[in-house]
Amino acid sequence: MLFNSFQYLVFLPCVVLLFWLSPQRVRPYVLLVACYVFYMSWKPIYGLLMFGLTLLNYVMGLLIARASSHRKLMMSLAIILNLGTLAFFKYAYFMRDLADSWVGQLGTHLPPLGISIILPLGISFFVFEFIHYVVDVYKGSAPVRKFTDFALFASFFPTQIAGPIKRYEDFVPQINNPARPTLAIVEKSFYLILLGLFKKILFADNLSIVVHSAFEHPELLSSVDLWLAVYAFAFQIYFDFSAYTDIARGSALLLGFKVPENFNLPYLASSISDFWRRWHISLSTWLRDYLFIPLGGSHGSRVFTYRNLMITMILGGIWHGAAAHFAIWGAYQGLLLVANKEFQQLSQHLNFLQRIRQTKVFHYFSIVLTFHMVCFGWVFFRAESIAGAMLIIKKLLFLPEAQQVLNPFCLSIINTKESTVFMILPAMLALLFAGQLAAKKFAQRQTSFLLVPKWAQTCTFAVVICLLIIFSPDYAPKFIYFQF
Amino acid sequence: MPLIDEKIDSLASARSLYLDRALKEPTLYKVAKSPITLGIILLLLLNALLWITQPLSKVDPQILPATHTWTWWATQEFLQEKPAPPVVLLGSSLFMHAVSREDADYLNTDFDYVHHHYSQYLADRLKDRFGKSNNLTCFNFALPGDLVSDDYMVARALFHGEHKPKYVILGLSLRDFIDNAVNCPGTTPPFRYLKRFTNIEDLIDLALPKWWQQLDYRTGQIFYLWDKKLELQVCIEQAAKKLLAPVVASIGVPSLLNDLDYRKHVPSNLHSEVEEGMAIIKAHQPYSFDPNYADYRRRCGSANEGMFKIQAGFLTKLVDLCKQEKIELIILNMPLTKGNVAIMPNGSYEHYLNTIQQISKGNSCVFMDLNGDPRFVDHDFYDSAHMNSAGGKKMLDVLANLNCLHL
Repeated sequence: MLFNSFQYLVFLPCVVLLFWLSPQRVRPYVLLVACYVFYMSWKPIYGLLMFGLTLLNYVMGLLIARASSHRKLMMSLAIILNLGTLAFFKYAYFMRDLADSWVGQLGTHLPPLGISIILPLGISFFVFEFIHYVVDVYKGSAPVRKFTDFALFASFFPTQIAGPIKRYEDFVPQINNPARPTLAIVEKSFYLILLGLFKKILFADNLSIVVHSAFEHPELLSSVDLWLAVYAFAFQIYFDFSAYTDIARGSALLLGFKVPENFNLPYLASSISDFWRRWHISLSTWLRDYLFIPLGGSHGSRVFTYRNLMITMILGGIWHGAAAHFAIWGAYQGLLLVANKEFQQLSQHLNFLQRIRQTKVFHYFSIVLTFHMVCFGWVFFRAESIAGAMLIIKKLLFLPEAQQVLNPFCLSIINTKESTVFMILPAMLALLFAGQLAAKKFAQRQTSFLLVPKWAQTCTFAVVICLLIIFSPDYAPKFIYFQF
Repeated sequence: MPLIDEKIDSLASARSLYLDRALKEPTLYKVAKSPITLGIILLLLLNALLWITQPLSKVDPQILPATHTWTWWATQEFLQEKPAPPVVLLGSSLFMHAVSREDADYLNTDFDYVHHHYSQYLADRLKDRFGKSNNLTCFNFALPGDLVSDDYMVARALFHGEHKPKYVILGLSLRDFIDNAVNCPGTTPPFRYLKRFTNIEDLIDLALPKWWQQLDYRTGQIFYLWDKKLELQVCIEQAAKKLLAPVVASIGVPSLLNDLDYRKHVPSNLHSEVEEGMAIIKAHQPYSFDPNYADYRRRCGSANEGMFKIQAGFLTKLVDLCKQEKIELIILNMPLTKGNVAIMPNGSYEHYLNTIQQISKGNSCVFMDLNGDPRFVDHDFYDSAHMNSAGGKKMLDVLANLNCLHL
């Protein structure tokens, strides 16, 4: 069941009504049933997987908390079982193909897997939540005593498929005391859900038309076209994923739960480390707390810190998918973070560099540079293969060895007949970037949409709903992060 | 070790204090004044106004704004045919491509797919056979990705009155019954377009089998904007294109995305859309065999029994409709390569063949199994399913000599 589908439009109000109309002590059970209905509406059998993993981690959590010895062993076992499940579903084909290519050098081949493995929705996200739970309990946090509470933490439908990755210490206390649905809360929920749908239906899905065309056949486009397509993907993935998060947060709020924010205007980041503090925040903080710091973090030599950074980012890349281009994307992000740290170190020793860094011009230059560095990374993230990514990179850099069918400086994408989005692409991208700046100003003044005059809010709500109705597709396109 | 339950208690008391002080329950008046409530009321008023005036319902369905799909182009051309062409071909791209490719070679000319909905070759063979010199036309209404339900909608929406043909030749394959890429029959582009010409109330259970699909449809009946969203989308898009046309023309860069290759790049949900100049059929076009097995494995790899039953239901309806309108229906099982048939799930091809044979036999329709015909060999195909002009010519020769045709 997708957030942008008609089914969800019916499901959410029904669950919200049932939840609040039920006696307080029954509410967690109502919600738990709704969560499993939501998850099993896709493939019922995977409800068992979710339940099995929940039971396993619940029991392991209690055992770790009670044990006086072998606690580390039990925690390791729980992590191995969680990661093993993830690896089986997500990386089995990849590992088999990799092993086959190695064995193939000896002149033999491995037999096919013989089973068809379908990746369970959201497994990457709930496995990370389980690992966080057992590690925190091992470190001394209190385990969750009630099984239903723990099951609800694992299966909470607004965040089940693509996060944000929750922390149980924040979530579980809310289960028996959800915030009552006051008018202010309902208004905020509506605002978040409408904003999410607006981002997904009007921006992300339209930009996907351009992105799909360009990344399928980059050889047919000029360098300028490909720059536009890469910018388009940068905004597509941002709007797609942040739309999901907005709808998740709005839906959770209607049920009285607060879930963490995942984005904070990432394309206005002034450095790559700033970008990772603003992009997919729940994943980057998870990687920091449960991978980078356990590896030793930055408590050691520079080389040791950089090694940890590289490992964290490469594994973060592979978490997105079992393909070499995701690993390269992760390694690229790691290298950018290392370069950023080196630059910071250097500028501390050079006064003139420090002075330059404090100027406004440098600040804006940093934003533009960071955005473009991130865009380069997106090429590896989105490309179908490494060869495809390399061709796009060569064209983006106007390298002569990249064969150009068209003059590299010409703009041909705008002349496409099929869809209006091609025609308005440059203006649309400029507006989207301007929208980010406006949102920053809004945030700086500590104001929000809910403080603008009521009549303006009323008209905006009506117009937005009208547009959403008119442009809603007959069947909902998936969110990008559903595949992870 | 502190337990979570203790934390809950302390948080609960803090929250209830906070709620009591700051978040008092809103009164009905406050709720009524909320921008959400007012926004929804505004929307309902607009809907009521549109529902009463029904502005788009007063427009002829043929000129009502529509996306330029393959169905739209074919419908426009078909409705201009007066009197109706005596022979109409219905089916999917298997039929469409074979007929069009043969025509391009036969006429020795390139033509735009969106403007050539005929089989001149078949028409000429029929004229030869029946000694007619008048303008006998064979209309090719086969559409890419067509399902049986779409064929039925073409017949139901258009084949009556002065637009009623004498013969309908329906080319079928298993894909037309089980396409896994299709969500439900009621949301395909041909179905969505053609439903404006006819009332589909009696088809709801077949065309929209899931409860939420039916609820979606019912919502459209009471919510005007929801019902007319496709038309409104087109209105907005056309206005935007008109506004932007001078800007685009001033750029004037020749775009490779405008040519036939562009079809490969658009996402599948836009494959049904086509404009002039985007799909040109070239005469004597050389080709190399395209092993498109992956595509067919995706679309026909699983038996999709629910969809099969529904499409068989539509085939029965089509047979009944033709009987009722006194149209002779000829059903063909289209030729495929052996490799393509091998992809089909175990037993499903045989089940399909039995089903269409039974429906034909039970209703005294002419049925021909061209897939069992040894005249069709692998060289007659340009991929695992679609015939080239040589295959098209063989098939049209078979059709031209059918005993049941009397023109």
